[in-house]
Amino acid sequence: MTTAKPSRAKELDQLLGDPWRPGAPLSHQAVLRADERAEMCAEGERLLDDFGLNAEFVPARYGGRLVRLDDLIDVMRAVFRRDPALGLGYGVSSFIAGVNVWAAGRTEQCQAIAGLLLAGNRVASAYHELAHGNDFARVELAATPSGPAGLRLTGRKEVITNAARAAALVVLARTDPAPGSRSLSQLIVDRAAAPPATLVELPRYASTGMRGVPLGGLEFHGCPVPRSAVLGAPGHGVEVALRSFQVTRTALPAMLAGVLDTGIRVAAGFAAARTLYGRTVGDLPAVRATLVDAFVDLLIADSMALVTARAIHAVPDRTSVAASATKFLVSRRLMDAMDRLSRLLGAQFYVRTGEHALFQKLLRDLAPAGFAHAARVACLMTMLPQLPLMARRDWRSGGQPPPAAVYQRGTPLPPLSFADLAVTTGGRDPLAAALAPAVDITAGADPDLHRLAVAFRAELAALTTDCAQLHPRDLGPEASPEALGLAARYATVLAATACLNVWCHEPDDRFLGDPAWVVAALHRLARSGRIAVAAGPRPLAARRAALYAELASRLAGHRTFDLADRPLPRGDS
Amino acid sequence: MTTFQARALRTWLIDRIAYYLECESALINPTRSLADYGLDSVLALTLCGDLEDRLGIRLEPTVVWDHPTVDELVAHCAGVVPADRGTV
Repeated sequence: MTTAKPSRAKELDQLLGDPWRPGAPLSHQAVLRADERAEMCAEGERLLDDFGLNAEFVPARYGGRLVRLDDLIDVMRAVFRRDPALGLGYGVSSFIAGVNVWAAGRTEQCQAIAGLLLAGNRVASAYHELAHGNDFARVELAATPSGPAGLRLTGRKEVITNAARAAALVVLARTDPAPGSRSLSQLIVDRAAAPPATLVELPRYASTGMRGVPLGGLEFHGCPVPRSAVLGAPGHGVEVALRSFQVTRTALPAMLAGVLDTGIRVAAGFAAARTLYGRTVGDLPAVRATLVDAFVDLLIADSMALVTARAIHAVPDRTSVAASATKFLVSRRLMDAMDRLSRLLGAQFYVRTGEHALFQKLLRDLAPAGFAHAARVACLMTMLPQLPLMARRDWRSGGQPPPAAVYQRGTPLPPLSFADLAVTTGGRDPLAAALAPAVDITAGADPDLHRLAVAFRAELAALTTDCAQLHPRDLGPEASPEALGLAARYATVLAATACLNVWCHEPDDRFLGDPAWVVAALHRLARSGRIAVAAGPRPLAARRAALYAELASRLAGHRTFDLADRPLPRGDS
Repeated sequence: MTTFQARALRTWLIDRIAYYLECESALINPTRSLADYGLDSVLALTLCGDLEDRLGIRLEPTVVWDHPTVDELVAHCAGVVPADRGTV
């Protein structure tokens, strides 16, 4: 059911070493040098080969090590803390392609893709066409019948990670010219089997961030593929994507939280070392507040992402909306926190050399979180049509919270069941149902926290009324900003609910069981969500000293700033 | 489901689709694919919830994708709802 083996994340951290040490196996210096050359970091790729990172993306039943989504996130954070380009270019794009195969492929297809990945190859996910962006329904790459058992691909795919070096591609293609949701199919293209003249590489796209990642394109000129290459039933490509993407829309932003972890480390290190006005910058109250805000944002992002990831194990048919909400909110929290930290760094975030040069790279590399693998607004559009039914059903009646294990890190969870992922929740919303019981627990625990929690309960009640009455026009692509705002407000409630429940379920944890962080988290979420909170003592200011002390102790003790509070390798170790 | 009930369901369904598409019910051809009218693929999933609420049954969320016309949807639901169900 679950593994209690030595943590793979720790193992990888040890292998990659202390990145601040210039001679480390994967140093920040090496990563920056590769970025300046717009190349993948060769040392990094070699080390990840040695580690066999691809096995993390392959389910155990096909010979890999993918058992738990939260463990995978943990492992990938070790990569993203050092080099987001390595995270995306070495691994994540293979992971996205893989999830679609595990969710819909026949056993032999799964075995074939698993075999490629376990042998160290990359598999590209080729869904995107520049002309259509996130509007998958308009995909043009055509797969037309050719003989009794064949298809021919004609068209192009653009801005595809690893297009040129992938051994196989998972492409989304039109198998029926009619409009509708059964006209597209996903299929596996074996690069080695494609006649070179029928599969032409487009020039690489130069980019601002993720500069080393080979983003390319492919042009198909009647490229032959067998019909058996189709994943799942023909015409089910959109369904497979909607089911699979809840895994990736949750896991990717969760992995990217590692970027903010390092961002905080760079900024806090800068603040401690720099002297202004006769004291270190880190002694200035406004600077401490900026650092604490970023720390709290990381805890918010991690709480929401880990809860959704664990919910995908526990209630896989009820996470489609939460996954899009997670992508929407977590990506924004991470980017905003990095932006604020960049202002703290002043000119040091802008220069590409020197001690703090890593920050500008992290900032550029993080930007795709806002648009890649579903733009944030596309996430809202995916959520909107489901909100009225959720409002009418679970939000109104209270619903059934998920098992407590969703909130308890390190406790067993059911295996990841790709077959049970569903395109809608059918009006059910266990993660929101967990709000009311958590609010009750706050009543006797902390007056500030209770006031905040009650405000979020009122916000969900208001959303229940507003979403149940959503105008039909607001459920589709012509949705008004106000309607999209409802989906965004719901994401904020879901984030607050995740934080509250992590706090509730970790009573024995020295830090997470104390209300300080969750008061700060809810305060920040209430402020950004413009949620009215009953007047009281200023909750955040009162908790700041304790949170800064925690941050400073993790910085000095070389520990991560996320929920895991994991020791990082230091020096030669 | 009786023939009478199926006919009532058909009328209700046409009204519901016209509501989503913001057009007159008379414009909905029950033999034409709803995708032809521009019904968004994700929005089609919500019709499923409406049908479930009305019929008191559970349907696959993709039921509208697989039965994309009004007549096909009604025929599918008629086959799923027990014949002795009093009201639909």
